Amino acid sequence: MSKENKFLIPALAVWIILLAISLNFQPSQRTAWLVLRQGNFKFKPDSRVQISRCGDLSYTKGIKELQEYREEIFTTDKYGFRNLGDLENPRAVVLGDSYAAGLGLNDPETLTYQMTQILGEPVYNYGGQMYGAPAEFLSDPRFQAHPPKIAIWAPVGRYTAPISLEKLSPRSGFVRQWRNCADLIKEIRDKLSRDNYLTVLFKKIVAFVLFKIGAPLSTNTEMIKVDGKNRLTLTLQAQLLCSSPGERGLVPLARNIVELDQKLKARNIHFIFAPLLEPGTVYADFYSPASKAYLQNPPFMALLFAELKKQGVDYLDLRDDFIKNRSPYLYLNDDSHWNPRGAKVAAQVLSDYIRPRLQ
Amino acid sequence: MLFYDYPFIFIFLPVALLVYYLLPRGLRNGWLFLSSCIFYSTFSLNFLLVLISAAVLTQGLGLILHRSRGQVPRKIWLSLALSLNLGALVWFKYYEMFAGNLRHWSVFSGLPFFKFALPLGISYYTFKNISYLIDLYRGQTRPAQSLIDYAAYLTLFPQLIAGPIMRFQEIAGQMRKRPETLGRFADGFKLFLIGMSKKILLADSAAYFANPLFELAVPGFWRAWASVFLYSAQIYFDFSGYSDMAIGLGMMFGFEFPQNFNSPYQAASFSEFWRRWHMTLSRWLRDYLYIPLGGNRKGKARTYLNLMLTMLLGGLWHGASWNFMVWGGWHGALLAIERYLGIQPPEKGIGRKLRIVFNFILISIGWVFFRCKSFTQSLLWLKSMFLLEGLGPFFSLKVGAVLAVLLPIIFGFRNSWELRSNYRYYWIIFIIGCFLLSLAVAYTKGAAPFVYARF
Repeated sequence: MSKENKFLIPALAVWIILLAISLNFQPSQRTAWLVLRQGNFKFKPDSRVQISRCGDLSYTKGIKELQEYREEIFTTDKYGFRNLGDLENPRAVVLGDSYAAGLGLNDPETLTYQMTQILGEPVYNYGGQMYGAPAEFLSDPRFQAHPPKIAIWAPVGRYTAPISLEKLSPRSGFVRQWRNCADLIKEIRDKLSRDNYLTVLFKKIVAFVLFKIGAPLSTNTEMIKVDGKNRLTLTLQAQLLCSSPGERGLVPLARNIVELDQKLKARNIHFIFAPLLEPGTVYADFYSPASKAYLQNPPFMALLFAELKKQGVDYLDLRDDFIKNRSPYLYLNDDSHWNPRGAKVAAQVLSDYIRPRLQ
Repeated sequence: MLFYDYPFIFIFLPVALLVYYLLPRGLRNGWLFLSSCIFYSTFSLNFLLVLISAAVLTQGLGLILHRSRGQVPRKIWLSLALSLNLGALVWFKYYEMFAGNLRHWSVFSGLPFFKFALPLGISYYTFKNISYLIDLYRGQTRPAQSLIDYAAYLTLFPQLIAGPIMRFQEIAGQMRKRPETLGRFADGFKLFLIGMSKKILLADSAAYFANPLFELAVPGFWRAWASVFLYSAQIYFDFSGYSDMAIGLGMMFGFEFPQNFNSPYQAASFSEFWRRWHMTLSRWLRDYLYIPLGGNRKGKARTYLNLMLTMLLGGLWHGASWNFMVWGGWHGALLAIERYLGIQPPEKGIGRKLRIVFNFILISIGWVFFRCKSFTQSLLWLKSMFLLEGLGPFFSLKVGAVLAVLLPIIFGFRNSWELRSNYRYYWIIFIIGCFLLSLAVAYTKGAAPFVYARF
């Protein structure tokens, strides 16, 4: 056998075997969130999806031992937001991302539904996919015609980043075709990057070994033990709790928030900035020492609040209330989002805060 | 879609190779161009337009330049072509840095704010375009035979993201005819697997331990040095791993790309380091910047100035930040001082070993500016490294263990370029085993993007 073949035959054989194992792509976990995704921000209007799913972290990391399946009912109104019934002209609106929209929760467990129950008047859920909430809200003709009394921007801490307040203009002609083409490429790439039998096999083997020896599960996931039970969370680093102000864009973000406040004031809407908390802020002491090394820098949110205070923007820090109520656990055990109790604590604090301002 | 991603290794690459070898030779460059466009469009379709425009404009203006007679028109065409290429680079990469600094003066306070995403690989393909144009002007190369040939050269996907920076004159012959032999394919495949293992198993492990250390508010003496040594290892394994993968991929398509790393930390002088580190960039800077500035032909003072300028611009090439400028300046100063003192490192023996360690420490100090997020953080790191912030806690046992594995590999092992032609059974089994482990790690824990892909 030639020296090249000595290498090529086994190497190509391994490659082909791996390729064969990987074929037959496994569909990614069906979630209401994915089923109802439409465009960049909203969901499909007037829809109801009922799905059994496990947490995003245990699913993507392939850790069967920690997967907890639960039923999720996700209902959208005629505008493509997660509200039960068509709430016309609400006096309070909560803008946000997956936490506000209630990923992983049932309809009656969402933040706004619980606020509605506490306040006795409708609170509109304007939570959508990732960024975009303030820009969408500012240009939404419904709220231009009938402005609410209060608008709360409640993004999850990790995604609180500089934003554009200008809504993207609708695509037309060649630009639309081009964008559609780019979207198609992205979709194909995402589909090919989904889990397949090969990646699942690798994940199972590696996760099993790491889980058994108690080693960190991945560069962005960590298992913490709270109330005697294992819970999967993102690492403190991945939650961006103490990243440097420059990296997170403190100055442009504060500028955006002040601008948003001014724009809403001009419409007689009282604005409150209330970022939602991830487990890192509430259960920091349960993380590994390596992870806790990040906490030596001042929390980013504290710096942002100080900046907003100087600028006279109304903000609400949920930290103390979450820490006070941190047992039982406030987050889903195998997911990066909060559980109904977490949403309930936030709903209570927010409701108490806005009640006098609604009168 | 990076080289270690599932869609690249198991879908894109097999299809690209299969179609390539099924096509007649005359169509292979066209296929390479098309597959490179597909590869690039998975990052950004918009920036594909920038890339293709750069190829068309450079080839078009290069042809006009080549056909022009007389110094003045040739200079005009060259200036125009260079301005367009550099203009795009400056616009995308440096505008905000310059505008941000100028806005401090009231005259420039109204400069508009533009924050662009950086087209992937623009620093690399702009340098390739510039070398092509200058070589045409100097008569050191002939124009590409067709636009497809030039576009295939510029967009060649194995070296599109982060080099190596090949000059057209080095590859012109290969664009027309290249020996697509089984031996070259096997060597390339092996180099690709070695590179991937270096990136996933070594570089990412170093990063895993270095990153938390670089987040510390006050690292103290021990942890500052540990973080810097870990980063030295990370950036070397990351970039040389990427280069191995790129060169290996090129070989699988029949190309012979120039070597980009030659055990740089085993260099015993700074000039030797730069002959071994990112060799294609060093050569580019030497041939298109240092020598045109006068090199060492205009007296000692001018030589030092030229070294300094070359390294400062080399630093700036990495990114629009003062940190990169300082990093370049640090290396410029080291090179100038070494030249001033006339230091010649010993060929072998303990003297050479001590010089290697000394070199490594000074080079690692330079990496502080490369890694830290701001100038303030860099100064804090230097203060800690020189005991101005106290000893602080000792680094963890795990960090010590990782350093104990990585540093001997850096200093004691042969590099992948030397090992690519090793066909012993144990070595083949070892490489395939590392490849499997890399895949398992990459698809489970996730891999960090290549450090140099952001430049």
